[in-house]
Amino acid sequence: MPDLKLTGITKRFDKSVAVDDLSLSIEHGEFVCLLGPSGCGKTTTLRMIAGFETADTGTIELDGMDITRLPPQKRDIGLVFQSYALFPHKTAAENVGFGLKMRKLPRADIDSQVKKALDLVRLGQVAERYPRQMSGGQQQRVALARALAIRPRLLLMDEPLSNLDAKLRDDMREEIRRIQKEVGITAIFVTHDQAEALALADRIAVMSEGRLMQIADPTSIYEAPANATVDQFIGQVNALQGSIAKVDGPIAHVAITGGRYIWGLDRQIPVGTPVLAMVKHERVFLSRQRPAAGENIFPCQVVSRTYLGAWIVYHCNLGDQAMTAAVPNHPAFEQFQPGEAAFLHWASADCRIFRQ
Amino acid sequence: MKMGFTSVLLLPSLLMIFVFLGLPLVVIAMQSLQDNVLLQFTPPGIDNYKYLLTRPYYFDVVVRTLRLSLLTTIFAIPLGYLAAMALPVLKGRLANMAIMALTFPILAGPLVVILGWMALLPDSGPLFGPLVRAGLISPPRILGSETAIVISQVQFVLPFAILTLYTALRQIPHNLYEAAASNGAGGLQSFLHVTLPLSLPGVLSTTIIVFSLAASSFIAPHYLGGAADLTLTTLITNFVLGTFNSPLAAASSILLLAMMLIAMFIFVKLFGRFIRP
Amino acid sequence: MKGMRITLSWIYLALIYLFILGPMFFVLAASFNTETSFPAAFEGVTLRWYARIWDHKEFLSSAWTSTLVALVSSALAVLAAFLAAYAISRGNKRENAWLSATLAAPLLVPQVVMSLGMLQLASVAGMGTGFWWLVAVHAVHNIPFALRLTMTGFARFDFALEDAATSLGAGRLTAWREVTIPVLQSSIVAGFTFCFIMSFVNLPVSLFLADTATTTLPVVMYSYIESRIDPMLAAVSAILFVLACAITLILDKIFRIRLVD
Repeated sequence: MPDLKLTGITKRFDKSVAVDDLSLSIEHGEFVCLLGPSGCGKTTTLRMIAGFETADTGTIELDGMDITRLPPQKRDIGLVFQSYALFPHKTAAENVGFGLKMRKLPRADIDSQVKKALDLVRLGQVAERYPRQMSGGQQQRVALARALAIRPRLLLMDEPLSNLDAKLRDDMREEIRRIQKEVGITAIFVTHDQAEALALADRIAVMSEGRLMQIADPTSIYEAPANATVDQFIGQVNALQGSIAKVDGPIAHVAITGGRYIWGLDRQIPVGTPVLAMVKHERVFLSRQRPAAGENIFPCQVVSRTYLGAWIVYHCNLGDQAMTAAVPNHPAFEQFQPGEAAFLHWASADCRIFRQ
Repeated sequence: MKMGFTSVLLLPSLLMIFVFLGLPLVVIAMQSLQDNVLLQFTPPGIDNYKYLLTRPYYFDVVVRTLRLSLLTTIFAIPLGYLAAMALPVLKGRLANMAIMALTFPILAGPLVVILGWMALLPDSGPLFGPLVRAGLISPPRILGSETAIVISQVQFVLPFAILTLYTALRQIPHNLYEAAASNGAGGLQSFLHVTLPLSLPGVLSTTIIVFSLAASSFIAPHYLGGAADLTLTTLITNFVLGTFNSPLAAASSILLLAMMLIAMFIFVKLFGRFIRP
Repeated sequence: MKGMRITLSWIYLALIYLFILGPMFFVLAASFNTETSFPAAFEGVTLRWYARIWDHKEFLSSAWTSTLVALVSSALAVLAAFLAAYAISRGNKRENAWLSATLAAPLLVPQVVMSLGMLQLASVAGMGTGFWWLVAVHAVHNIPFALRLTMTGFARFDFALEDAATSLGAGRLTAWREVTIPVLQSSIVAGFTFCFIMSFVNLPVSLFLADTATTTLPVVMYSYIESRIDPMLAAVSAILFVLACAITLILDKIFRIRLVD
C-alpha cells in the first residue's frame, strides 16, 4: 500500500485552475520532488496534502486512510517552510518540542525527544538559543528537527533551501537526504531548481500549469522525458519544428525547413503531424570535418561562443533554424570562433520527437 | 470554510460600528426632521434646515466653520510637509523619539493643550505681556478671536499631518532621487519632479484628515473663541446643553457632516486632476 | 549646500516642535507656580495645587470612572480590531474599499456628533445614558486607532508561523494563544495603551453622555473651567501629561513600539 495516494485532485482559485486532475502515489520511504516553474501548482498541491487548502474534487489517502477533509492539526504531517517559520519567542528546544507539547506528552519525554531530534540534525548545542541568535542554516536544521520530532507519517518541505546561499544549499541538501534515509521517513520536497531535484529525489514529479507531466526517477526524467514540456524544463534542449515525413522501423524522419530531414526515435505519430524534434545541448557535436558516419549531420555557421568554464556553448545557424551545442572545455574537443563554418551532428537515439 | 471564517472575524468591529455609529446617525437624521420649541410644523419636514441656512446668524456659523477649517488646513499642510521633509535629518533613536513626541499632545488630551494656549495667548500672558508692557506692540487681543482658534487647531492637527506626510514621503523609492540626480536634476528640480508629484496622494489623504479634524474641533472654538464666535460643533453643544433643542442639534450635526463630505469630495476631485494614475 | 539644508532642517524642526509641545510644557510649569491665578507671571514653586486636587472629590471619582470606561472600551476595541486585522491580513480578498471606509468611519464623524447620536439613540430607546453607553461610544471611537496599530503588527507577521503551529497539532485558538498573540504582543499592547490614554482624556465624545451619577474626568474639568481657571487645573493637566508621556516611553522601552511602519 502506498504511503500517500492522491486521486483526481483539482483546486481552483477564482477563475484559474491551480491543480488539474492530479493523481500520484508515493511509496513508503521514498523521497519525491515536486518540480516545476512557479505557478505550476506544486506548492498548492503540497498545501492540500498538509491540509491548509481543501481540494475541490478528488481524494487524498495517507496510509490507506482518507484525510481529504481532515484538518491539518490532526494529520500528523511534518512541515518545513521556506521561511523556516521558527517561533521567534521560543528557544530552539521549545520550538522542537512544540508538537510534542501539543500531544500532551510528559515533560521528561518531551525533553528526551527534543534532545534526540536536535542531535539528529547535529545541533544539540543550540537548544537554549533563540532563532534570531542562529544562522540561516542552523534555523533550517532546527525547523527540520521540529518537523521530525513528532514522528510524522510524512515529511513535506516547501522550497526549504531557497533562502540559503549556494554553498550552504549544497551542504544542507546532503544533510536532508542523510537524515531522511536515517529516519526512513517518506518525504515530498517542492522545488523549482532542477539540479536540486535531480540530486535529491528517488522520483521526480514534474508539474506544469497544474498538471502532472511525468513522475519517474531522475535518469528517466532527464533522458526519457514523456513530453516536450518536461524535455524543455529539464536541462537545456534544442527544439526544432517540423513534420513527420516518413517512418522507417524505429526511426522517424522529420522534415524541417530547408529540405532537411532529422532522424529521431519514433513514437507512432502519424505522417504529416507537426512535431518538435528535441535534442539536449550536450548531445550535439561540432566538428570541422564532416563525420564519416552518423544520422543527423548538417553544415552550419557558428554565430556565437560563450565560455562557461567547464563548458563552451556555441549558438549555430542551421539555415533559418538555430541550434545550440554545449561542448566540454577539453582539448579532446575542437574549439570554434564566431563566423566559422562547421558540421553539427547528433545521434538519432538522442533525438526525441513530440507532437507540438 | 475559509471565506466564511474570516467574515465572522469582521463581525465584532462591523457590528459595533453599525450599532453605535450607524444607528445613532440614522436617529440623528430622523430627529433633524422633527418639530421643536422654536419651529412648529408637522414632522417630518426640512424646516429645521431651512431655518439654519436662511437665518444669517446660523448661516454665519456654517460659514465660520468652513472658513476656520480651511484656514487650518491651508496652514497645516505646508508646515507639516516641510517638517516631514526635514525629519529624515534625525537619525536612529532621535528619529524614533521625535515621532513619539508627536503623539504627546494627543495623549495628554486637548484639554491640557487648550489650557496652555489660554495661558500663553492673553495680552497679559508671558508671550505678549512683556512686549505690550515694553510698549513694542499694542495689545493684540488674540484670545477670544478666530486667530486663536486657528493657531490652536493648527497645533492640534500638525502631529497628524506630519505623521501622515512622513509615511507618504518615505514610500517614494530612494533610487528615484538617485536617478534624477544622475540625470542632472538639482535639489529644487528633484523636488518638483519627483517628490511633489509622488507625494500628492499622501497630501490628499492628509488634507482630508486635517480638514475633518479641524471641522470636528470642539475644544478650540469653545475655549479660545469669542462667545459670539460659534462653530457648528459649539452650536450643537449649545442646542443640547443650553436650549435643550434636540431637532436643531440634530439638523446642525447633519449640516456639519454634509459640509465635511462635500469638502472631501471637492478635495478628491481637485487633487484627482493632478494625480496621474 | 547640503550642510546648510541640514542646519535649516534642524532649526525648522526645533521651531515646529516648540510650537507643538510648548503649550503643554507651559502648563506643566504653571502647575508649580505660587501665583493664585492662572495664567500669571511665574512667582515661586509650590506643590499646593496638587494637594488641592485631593479636596475635590469629584475629580477623583470621575478619574476612577474614566479609568474604568477607558479599560473596558479599549479592551473591546482591541479585541474587535485584532479579529478584524487578522481577517484582513490573512484573507485572500483584494483591498475592499467599502470595508476600509466603514472601519475608518469613526474617524470621520465629529466626536460631538457621535455623542449626540448616542444620546438620541438612548432617548429613542427610552433609556437613560450611563456607564455602558460611555463604554460603547468610546469603544467605537477607538476602533480605527486600535486597528491601525494592530495592522502594522500584522504587516510584519509571517503567517507561516501559524501554519507551522497547526501542522504540529495546534488548533486555531491554541495557535493564537501560543504563537500569534505572543509574537504580536507589542502591537496589541501599543493599541491598548493608545486607546486607553485617548479615551481617558477625551472630552467631546463623553460630553452629552455624562450624568450626575456617571461622569468622566474631562467632563468634570470642562465644567470646572467654565467657572474659573485656576492652577489646580494645570496640576491635573500636568499629571495627565506626565503620565501619558511616561507610559509611552516605558512601553517603548519594553516593547519597542513603532507607530509608523
